[in-house]
Amino acid sequence: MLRLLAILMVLFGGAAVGLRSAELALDRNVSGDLVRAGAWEMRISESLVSADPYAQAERARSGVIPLASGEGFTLTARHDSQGRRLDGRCAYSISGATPAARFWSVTLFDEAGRLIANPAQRQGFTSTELSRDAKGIFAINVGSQIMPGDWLPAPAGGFILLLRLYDTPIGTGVSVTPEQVPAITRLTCT
Amino acid sequence: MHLIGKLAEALRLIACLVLVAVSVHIVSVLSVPSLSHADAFSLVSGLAPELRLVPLDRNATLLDGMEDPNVAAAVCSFDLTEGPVKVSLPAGVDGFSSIALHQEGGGAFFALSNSVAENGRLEVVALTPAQAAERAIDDDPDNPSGEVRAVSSRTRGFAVFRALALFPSQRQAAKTLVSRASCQHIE
Repeated sequence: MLRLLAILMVLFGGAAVGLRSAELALDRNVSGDLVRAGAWEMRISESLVSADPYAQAERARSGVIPLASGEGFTLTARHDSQGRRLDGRCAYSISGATPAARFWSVTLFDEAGRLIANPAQRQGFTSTELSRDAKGIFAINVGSQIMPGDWLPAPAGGFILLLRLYDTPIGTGVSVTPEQVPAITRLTCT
Repeated sequence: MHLIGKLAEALRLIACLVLVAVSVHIVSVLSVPSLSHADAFSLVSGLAPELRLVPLDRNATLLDGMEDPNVAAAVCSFDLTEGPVKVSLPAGVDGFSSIALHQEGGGAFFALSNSVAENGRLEVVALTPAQAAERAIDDDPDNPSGEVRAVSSRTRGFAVFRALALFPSQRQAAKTLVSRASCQHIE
């Protein structure tokens, strides 16, 4: 009797632990292909048929159609270059190098992944519409209060930035170094 | 002795529990792609009948994976059982446009952008390995067709057409461009 109980405990306990750990692993995006460069992170195998099992499972649950490696590549930032969470109560400047790509865009979403309506009707910039200084350097100013130059309005709370590279060698075996991505510098906070 | 026996028994039980937990963990992670109904293929194929082009509206909660608001996109699902499927998109004058082919179960098996477009169009034929072999036999070695072929290991999948508007004023043009994409069975 005791033995039967022990066996049942092992089976059900094991199954419960296995299921719960699988769920947690997927919720927390543990897949091994997450690569970081500066403030940005990317999933190298996101669009591949042969993505790692956790990435495949996450993709199947989310319904997202990632950019294929022949199209482009997406980088995500949830923190500034100092590792502090992006927060609309602060102002930021995005500036610096961008990885090799024919075109790119920076887009801002709230933490739930929604675009934010604003009077400026500005949710992002493409590489072609940014103003640049004499050296060709761009600077995107991000914040909830109006800012000079290329201003990307942020919500009052947390937000996420997406840098999409179109027609890029990144993702087809070429990775990104911190020197190749723009820095996200926190300016002032209210 | 008695105590050591009990200890060994407990250790054995714990080992079994870990083994069961690890097995269940692996099996459940691996089975998510085949069991999920929220994956991209299920969503796309649920939008419209096979080969019908559907514009992806950003306002729809469906397929909202933080899409780029500068990009207009359209999709069509296909089934290669009846034969190869040709998908095509006008390349557009400037900016970026692309076709990506994704298979059921997830993952893109082919993509190309307008940087390699010929004759102003992006065109690719999706086929199964058997159909590819058949087509290769019919090829005239002296007069290659120039057809771009993409072999899929699965029979079902979907195509995504994207066009990037470089300026907000070009968004309507990008929408029009992807609305002129086509998906059709070929012989």
